[in-house]
Amino acid sequence: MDGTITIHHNSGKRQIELLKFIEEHLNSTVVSMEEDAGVIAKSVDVVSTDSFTVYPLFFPGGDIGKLAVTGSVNDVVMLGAEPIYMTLSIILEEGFSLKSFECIINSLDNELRRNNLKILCGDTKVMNKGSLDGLVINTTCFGKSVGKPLSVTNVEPGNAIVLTGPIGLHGATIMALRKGFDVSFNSDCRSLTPLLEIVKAFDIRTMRDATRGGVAQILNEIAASAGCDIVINEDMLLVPEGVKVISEILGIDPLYLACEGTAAIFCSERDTGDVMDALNDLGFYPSFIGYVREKSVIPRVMLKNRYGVERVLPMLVEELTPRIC
Amino acid sequence: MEVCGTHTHALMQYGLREVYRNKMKLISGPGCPVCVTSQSDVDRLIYLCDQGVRIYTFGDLMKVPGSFGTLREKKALGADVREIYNPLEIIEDMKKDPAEAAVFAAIGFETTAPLVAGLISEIENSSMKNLYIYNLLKRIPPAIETLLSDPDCAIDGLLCPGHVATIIGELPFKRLSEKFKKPFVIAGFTRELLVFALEKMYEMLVTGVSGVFNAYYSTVMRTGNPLAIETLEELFGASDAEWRGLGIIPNSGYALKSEDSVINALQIYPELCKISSKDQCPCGQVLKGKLDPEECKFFGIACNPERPMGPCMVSSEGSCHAAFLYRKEINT
Repeated sequence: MDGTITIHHNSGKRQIELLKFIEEHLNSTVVSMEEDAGVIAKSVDVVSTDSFTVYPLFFPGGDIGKLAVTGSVNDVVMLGAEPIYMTLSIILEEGFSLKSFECIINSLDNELRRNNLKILCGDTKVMNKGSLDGLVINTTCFGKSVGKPLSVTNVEPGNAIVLTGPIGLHGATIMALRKGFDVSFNSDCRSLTPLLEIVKAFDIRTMRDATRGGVAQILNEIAASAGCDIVINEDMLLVPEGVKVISEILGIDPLYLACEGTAAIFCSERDTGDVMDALNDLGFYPSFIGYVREKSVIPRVMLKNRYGVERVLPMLVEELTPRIC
Repeated sequence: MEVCGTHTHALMQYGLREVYRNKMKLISGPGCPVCVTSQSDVDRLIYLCDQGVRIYTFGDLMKVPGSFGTLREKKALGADVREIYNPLEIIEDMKKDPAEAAVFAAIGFETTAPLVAGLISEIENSSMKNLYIYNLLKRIPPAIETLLSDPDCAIDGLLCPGHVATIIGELPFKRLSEKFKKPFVIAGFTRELLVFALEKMYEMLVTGVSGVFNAYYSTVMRTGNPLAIETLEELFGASDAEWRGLGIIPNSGYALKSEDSVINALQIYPELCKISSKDQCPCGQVLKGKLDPEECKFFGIACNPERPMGPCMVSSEGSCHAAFLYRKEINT
């Protein structure tokens, strides 16, 4: 195959070549590429779909290929289900380098293997130069619950909130790259499948990974769905030094920066210690950040600082923009 | 009063306004470059957009409503509006993706001015002939002087902007402190540095001492940053500038020394001077510290970060935005 994707890869012989190219690189993780559709042979009860765009496509700690697997996998894991199958749809921009494409498919494959996950079906399209930025990947992940599916409706006053790791690493990495800062930390992009061990063992109410909009966003979503106030303690948040520095330079609050490998676990208060121990054993860096408070007509997330002052932690209204001075 | 928008944000974020409520009432001043940009200037940039000119701007300015929409809305409709963080990015971007004509909306104070100076030098050194500066740079000390000269002024002391002081040093603040016989404290931005500055301010207020105390001495030198000052003096002279809410303040602008300069957008598009609009929101009163954000009749309901009426609600350094973001109750 030539070194770049062309519009001719949309049909005929070239399309078969492109599909073969992908299949070869995903060899051990493809169910079948022979038919027009995949057949679901195992029992599944949870499904999630997501489309992935990221600029730049490659970043320290991952790339769009890895992200396209971890993103959908984590959404399924958050419902307490084990990922079984994935569908893969790729839209490419004409002129995209085949070498970069190969790197992306390889890293996608690595992440699929890590999760013992099979591609059920897939598709490619090529669009004219300028109609998209490089490539867009859509994945759909099917999973099987390891117990009763988790739900935000199980959240009740008194539940504890445990974060599985530090905050803001992915968002800060991307922001730093875009603004030309050289940083020593990586995106936290990873599959959260090991959390299923916690789901099996303890009274977990709900889990949510803190992707777009960061921790502030997911806590607000859960507060709204559960109809309860939430209070978290600012000092308990794990903000890596590098994330702090980038946030200060750009004038951005780390609570709004995306994580791609940190989730909030809502569990019954009595299990908090055990959940923290188990997370530590699994190699996470958990922190117990707060509680679900009483039912509320206008549910709020409150952030308590070290002077004991509480303030509302609202959801992000606009995209994050760096400050001027 | 804290002049700097980043101070406003930090004081609310750390809850310090609350902590000091019984000792001092902290009010926000005009130290947010987006907030003091007049409606006329926003309308002029939008006019340039409509003429097919590419606009480079800092992110927050894109959201400020002009008389007919925002730059962001123009962008969504196909106008070429590009957000930047560092003015020097513009040269690279122009080389990568040339435009027929481009204008940089240079807003900012003493802190941003050296970066704009850097860009101007780069333009002059390169063969670039189609990148112009719409110069909205402003100086903080004349604005402070205007505020404190107001006979209705109720400001007892001033928390001086640490970043601005890093550039211009202590002396301009010293002159003002002597003239108005009020305590000035130059403050940093971390929780600890702000507490240090507030404690000092309280002590000076209680003991009735005026003068400048530098509570950010790790960064702010008495004489500021000589290299930056020299560069600014080389490129810019003083000019009158229009501030939202405060009107025209003498000598508060950074005029390009060569007014006929080929990079001055006003020379290239002289019709811009004809566009003049009236500010439509009470942001001016907020900027003068005469109206608390929460006291504004539009606050939270008609005006919020989702649908801002004025720049104080738009900018992340704006006092209304900060007051909304860090409010204790959600139903205001």
